[in-house]
Amino acid sequence: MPNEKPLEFSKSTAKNLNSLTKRLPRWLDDNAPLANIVISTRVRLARNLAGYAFPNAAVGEELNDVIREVYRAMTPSDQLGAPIFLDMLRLGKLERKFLVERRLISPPYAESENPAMLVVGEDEYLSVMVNEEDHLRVQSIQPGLNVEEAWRLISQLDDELGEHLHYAFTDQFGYLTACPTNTGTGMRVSLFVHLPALAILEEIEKVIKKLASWEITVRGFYGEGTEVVGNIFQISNQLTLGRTEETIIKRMEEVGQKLVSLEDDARERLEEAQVVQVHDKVYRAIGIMKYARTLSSLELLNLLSYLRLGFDLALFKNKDRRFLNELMVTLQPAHIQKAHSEMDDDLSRDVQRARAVREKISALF
Amino acid sequence: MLCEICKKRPVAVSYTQVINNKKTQYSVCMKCAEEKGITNPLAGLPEVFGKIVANIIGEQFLPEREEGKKKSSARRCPKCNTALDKFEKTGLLGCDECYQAFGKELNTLLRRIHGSNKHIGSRPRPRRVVTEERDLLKLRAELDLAINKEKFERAAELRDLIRDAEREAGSKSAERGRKA
Repeated sequence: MPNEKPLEFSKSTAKNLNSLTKRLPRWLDDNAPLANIVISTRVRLARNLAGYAFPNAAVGEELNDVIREVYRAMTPSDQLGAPIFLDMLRLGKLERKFLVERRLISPPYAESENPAMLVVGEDEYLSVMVNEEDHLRVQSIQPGLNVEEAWRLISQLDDELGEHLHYAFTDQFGYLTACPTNTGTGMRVSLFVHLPALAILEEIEKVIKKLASWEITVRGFYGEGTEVVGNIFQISNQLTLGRTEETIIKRMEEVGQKLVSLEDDARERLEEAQVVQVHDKVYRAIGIMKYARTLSSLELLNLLSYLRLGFDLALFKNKDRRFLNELMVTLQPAHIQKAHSEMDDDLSRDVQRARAVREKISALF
Repeated sequence: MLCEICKKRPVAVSYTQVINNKKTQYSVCMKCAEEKGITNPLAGLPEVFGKIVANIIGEQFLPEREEGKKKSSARRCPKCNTALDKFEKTGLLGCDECYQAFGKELNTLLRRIHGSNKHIGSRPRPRRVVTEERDLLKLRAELDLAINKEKFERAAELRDLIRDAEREAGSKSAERGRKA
């Protein structure tokens, strides 16, 4: 039914985006298993609707029809609670960048000019990109190492959607996806891990080699030696076909546990060998955060990494560390600009970032 | 040393990107680092595979392409019209039927990527065929709640949905009637 009617949710897009800017995602809580090292766990499922071309080959009204079908399947949804619907075509560059920073959309999705709908569950644990590389990219984020819980939530939503939508699926290949690297379960589990001791000791490469046989991909970035950026790595399962979801979940939990124990071990050795140097770095970071007048997002990530390490090494009396994740998310460029629309250049944002950090750190240390 | 991207500003960050165990080193200035999103480790969603597939497939079908270049490029999916050689370039299939149209190639490719060409994971839930009544009940309950909470915009949306659902249910039962 092409051109059935305009997309119903579209007109509330701006209002809905603003409601997102005024709250924080629940996965920032660090009161979760091993959250000191594993910042968050994400599970995503790739799904397509039978009978429609995938987004890269769709023509005419097809993508709008996909949006209508998915919208219908989600209203109402037990699993999403009261979700927010965003018409991506109504969002400008800044808003899209904000959503990338918020981890609700991928960078290619932010660039896309296709009709697309983003659905965000009540507390941001669950979200769905409609018309990304596949018709649906369902995502579930949990704080800490918690693959089981992320899977439980996403699997329930997937079941609920599957009752209304006709997924492209065959017995041979499983869930059919645009890219064959996702075919089968369509499942990608990603762990965001903070590994400063392994980075300082220059053992990251060794660890990655060790993990290669676990069918794991390491993405993100790391600097050489002490020139490390943020020390946060993204570890994902590489393969999706010929493995059950349970196998992938179990393996990724094990990978998370293994990384935590390798990092813990590295921290012990680091404290033994270079205690003065490490403590010096942590306290210098606090010094800079207390007094700097400009801070780039890159510099802030490095400083937060040392501060996080300081908490983990129990250097401070104060145990409340939730602000680390909060600053990491809310002081990204588009987040600052959404909160202060006049800050449309790097310098004014760097000044604002330094001001916000100064206030927070001075109150705590 | 100058930034590898803009070649103007001095290097502020060097980082190493590891994708599928392939290591690439970059030295860039602060501004280009921020533009590339290097400041934001949370942003890099796992969408880099597409580019790698092209390489795998390219390599895979190279001998075949040398011999029957015309034949390969002429092969298209009958439903979405995606050409096999376009898939080789982009790494993206055009629709669910492509899996059948290019079945032979995909079998080999999937085995090469995943070490398997057989799905053993979960299956979709059976779709609810008779959903109208339950959905209508749910929608009406939600409408009452929205009105009580004075969420009038949501109430208007729900009213439209209920009207559509009623219309659809009506036309379906009429259809069933005709068949009987």
